Amino acid sequence: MESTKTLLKDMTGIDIVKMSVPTEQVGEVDSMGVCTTITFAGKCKGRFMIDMPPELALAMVSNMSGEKMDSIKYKLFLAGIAEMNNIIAGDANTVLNNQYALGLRLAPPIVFTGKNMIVATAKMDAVFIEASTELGPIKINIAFEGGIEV
Amino acid sequence: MNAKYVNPFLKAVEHVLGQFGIVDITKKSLQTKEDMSIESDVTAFVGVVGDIRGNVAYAFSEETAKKLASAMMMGMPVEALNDMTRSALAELSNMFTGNAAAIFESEKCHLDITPPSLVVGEEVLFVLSFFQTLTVSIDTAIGTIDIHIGLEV
Repeated sequence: MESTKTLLKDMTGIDIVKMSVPTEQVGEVDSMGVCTTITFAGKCKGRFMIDMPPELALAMVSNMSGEKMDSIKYKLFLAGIAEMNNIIAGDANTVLNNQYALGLRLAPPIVFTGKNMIVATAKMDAVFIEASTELGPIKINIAFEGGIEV
Repeated sequence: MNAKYVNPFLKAVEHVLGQFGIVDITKKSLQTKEDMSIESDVTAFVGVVGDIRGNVAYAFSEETAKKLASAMMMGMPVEALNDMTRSALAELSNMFTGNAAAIFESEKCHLDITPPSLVVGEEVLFVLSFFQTLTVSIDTAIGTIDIHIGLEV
């Protein structure tokens, strides 16, 4: 969570002004429109997912790239969202590996956009954190499969 | 992309589908893309890490997804995709990729797979990798399955 908050501010200039306590997520995730996920494997397996509405995502990538983004289908926009998640998950991954020696390796980031999207994941316990920015909400979902062997 | 990285995924899909009684499988087309973008009703994906790294996605129409879920549940009719059938299809992508990992292992290529996910929605655009991707479409008795393989090799 620290990685998300700090790096989002550094990369996009957008502040997380409010953050909920981590809450258990049971079942599927309803996406707000733009979703990026990175899965990982090592001593444990899991997923790190960031979900947000298109307006916030477009503003974030516009701030990152210095180029006005107006379409969520634009390749540079999708690449920007993927890279943002890659940096955040990479930073969190380094912290987890250094502190707990989990040996986690990240798969490449995935981005998907659309309407009324549902993300289903088999057999994983997840927590989600709902955060607010001045431009809209952002949801962070972290899931681990089968607990952590440390 | 070298065929040695693609064939294990095709063999695995054929093997797993065969376990559910889907045996009439033919390769329909093969396409390379600069990146892995997918526009499909239902897409399941799994990451791979280890000696090779990337994402593999299995995309199908809603009709094919229902028939696949039905085949997994011993022929029970599936009228609509619900949370149980979506979870089953995510698990199917796990089986496909897990079987492929076992084939790679037998060829001294170690890889680990990450948890599967499945996405359904309207006007969904997926980007699973920003490096060259190979898409193999296979025809089966229950419809077409597109296998998208995006590996950093």
